[in-house]
Amino acid sequence: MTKNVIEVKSLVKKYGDFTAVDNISFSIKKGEIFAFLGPNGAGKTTTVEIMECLKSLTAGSVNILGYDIKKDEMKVKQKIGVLPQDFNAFEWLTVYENIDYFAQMYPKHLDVDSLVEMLSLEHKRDVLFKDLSGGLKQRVGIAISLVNDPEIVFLDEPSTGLDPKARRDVWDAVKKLKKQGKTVFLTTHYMDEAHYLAGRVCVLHNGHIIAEGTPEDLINRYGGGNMLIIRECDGHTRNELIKSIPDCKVEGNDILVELEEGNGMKSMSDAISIINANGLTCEELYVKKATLEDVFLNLTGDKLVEGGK
Amino acid sequence: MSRISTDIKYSFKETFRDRMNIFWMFVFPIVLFLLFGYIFGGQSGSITLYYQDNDVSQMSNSFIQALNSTGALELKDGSGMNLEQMLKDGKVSAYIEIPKGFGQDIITTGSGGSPSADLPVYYDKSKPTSMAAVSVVQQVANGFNMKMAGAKNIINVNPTEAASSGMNYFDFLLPGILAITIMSAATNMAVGTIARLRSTGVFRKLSTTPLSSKEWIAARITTWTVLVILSLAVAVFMAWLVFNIHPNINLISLLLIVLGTALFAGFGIVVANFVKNEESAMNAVGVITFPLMFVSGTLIPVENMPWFLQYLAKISPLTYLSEGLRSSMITGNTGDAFINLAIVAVLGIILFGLGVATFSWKED
Ligand SMILES: Nc1ncnc2c1ncn2[C@@H]1O[C@H](COP(=O)(O)OP(=O)(O)OP(=O)(O)O)[C@@H](O)[C@H]1O
Ligand SMILES: [Mg+2]
Repeated sequence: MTKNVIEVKSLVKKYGDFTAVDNISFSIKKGEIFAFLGPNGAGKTTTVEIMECLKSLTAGSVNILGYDIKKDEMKVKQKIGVLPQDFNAFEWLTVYENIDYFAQMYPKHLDVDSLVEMLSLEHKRDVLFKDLSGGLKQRVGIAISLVNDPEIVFLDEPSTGLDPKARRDVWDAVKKLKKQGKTVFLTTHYMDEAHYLAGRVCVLHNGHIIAEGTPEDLINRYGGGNMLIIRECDGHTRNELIKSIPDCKVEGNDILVELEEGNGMKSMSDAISIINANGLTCEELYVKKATLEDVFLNLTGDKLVEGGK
Repeated sequence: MSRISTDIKYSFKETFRDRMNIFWMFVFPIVLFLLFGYIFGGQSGSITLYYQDNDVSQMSNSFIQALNSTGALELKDGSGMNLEQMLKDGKVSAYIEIPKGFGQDIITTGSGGSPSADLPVYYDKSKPTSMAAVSVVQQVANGFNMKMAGAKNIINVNPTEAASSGMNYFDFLLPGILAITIMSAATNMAVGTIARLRSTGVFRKLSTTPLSSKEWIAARITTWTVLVILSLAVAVFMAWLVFNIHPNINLISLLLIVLGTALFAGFGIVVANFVKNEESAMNAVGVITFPLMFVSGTLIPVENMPWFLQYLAKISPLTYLSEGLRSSMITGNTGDAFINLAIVAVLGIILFGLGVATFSWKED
């Protein structure tokens, strides 16, 4: 059994009367990539910044690598790496100089040029930070978060605001961290990001954890299953389909069939036979897989009706 | 230690890469110096004449009235003041000393007796207005002579070029500009750096590293002090090159510069600690320091300002910094310099201490 490197118990954070984080508990094992998934204002940053010793907690306990963050702040700081939300470094220093600045803050640190190389920043090594694009700034931020060769890396919304290519680059960097055996704590409001990167996801909403598990787990449990969609059928075929497939839904000229575990295959083959028998009078037919998006929508109740359940 | 030296090294690099900093630090003080020098240089407002009436007779009184009624002078009662020293310090450009027995002498001379009444006028040749003051005194005395004795010389005006301050307006102005430079550079660097690094989130990042906020302040105050000294050095060098001014660089003036920097940096830190919004913090500092530039005896002597501004000058820390620099660098009045140094030191320790004590980059 691998040991827990992060243990959070009954954590509460209040800003005045407002409770931003409401009694949450979780633990993370060494080498995991763990994602906090939640909308704006869910309490992700607040939780992360408490773990980074940046904010004080109102109640509960946080234990990082065996140290209580309240008592051993300095020891914790030596062993973690942080990419804050909306990261910025010194504008008038170059990429290399910025990484070097932060490296020098630690008694033991990695070679700066090897970090430049690891994040593929060689061609921007001597460019001023203020002249970098958003994606490059985030990569510099990740490089800086690694200067002390940390055991745990916290990345707060590493890809927010980036274009698809820049997001991919950031994702590649995170995957490299996993390969190196580091524990990564990630926050995001992108479902695909959580799905692609994280081994385990915690869905946070209004300061509460409302679901936790592997992405597949969550999709199976809360995704509302897969959905067969048959589009643009003529009137006769549509009536035939409605008659022979129970529990199907009609939306305009489309028919939606929830594929339940067990008899999903039967529904599909029934549908295809009917379409075949009626002279292929439908436009298209496909199966839509549930995503974390659906999980989220179902759990937070925003669009509960559409998702089924 | 290496954390502090790293921050110092890189904060210098950052400063010198931004051209705007170069302008504010090295060009702006010189522009100010030339601008104010030429605007106020020739005619520093009204002509002020101090007097000391040691006679207190009807005659001396009417002589003073006569001076006053010319309207050409602003008369100031200098009784009890050490006018000789003030002239040497460049605070007074001319004064008369009505000797005891002045009135009696006029009466005896007028009635045929021999000794005429002497009236010494002391003036500072380096001040353009002083000669005007002397000539007004001369004319009023002539008027007396005319009226009372038919052009017979009963009042003998005795102009004496006093042990001068040797200070023309540019000499006077230089320490004032240096003080203004210390104030604006130190406050703006402190409030600007803190507000910017906070709003861009660099502080949030720094606070997750082993660097402490006290270490960061220690590093930055070192950088700021060195930058201020460099900036003053360039200004002094220019003044020497163009106006042939040779200020004394001594321990007191150096201490004034260092403690003055701490004072105003401390003030900037305090403002940045309490006003969290970057723009509001910069504005707050501007609103306070801008008027101080003008009321602190930097551009015109405090003695020449209206009385209500003189009160403001008394509570402005910049006054003591500027007077201290003027005494130590230009007039060489060590006693005066030392008193001002003491005031700047106390204020500096209080404000800088307050700044450090309230500075934190942690959020709650
Ligand atoms: N310093 C503060 N004072 C008062 N309220 C705060 C403070 N910081 C955060 N909050 C509030 O706490 C809640 C949680 O904020 P937090 O920044 O943790 O959310 P988040 O999940 O990181 O959101 P985002 O995706 O926008 O980054 C929000 O409602 C926010 O307005
Ligand atoms: Mg956040």
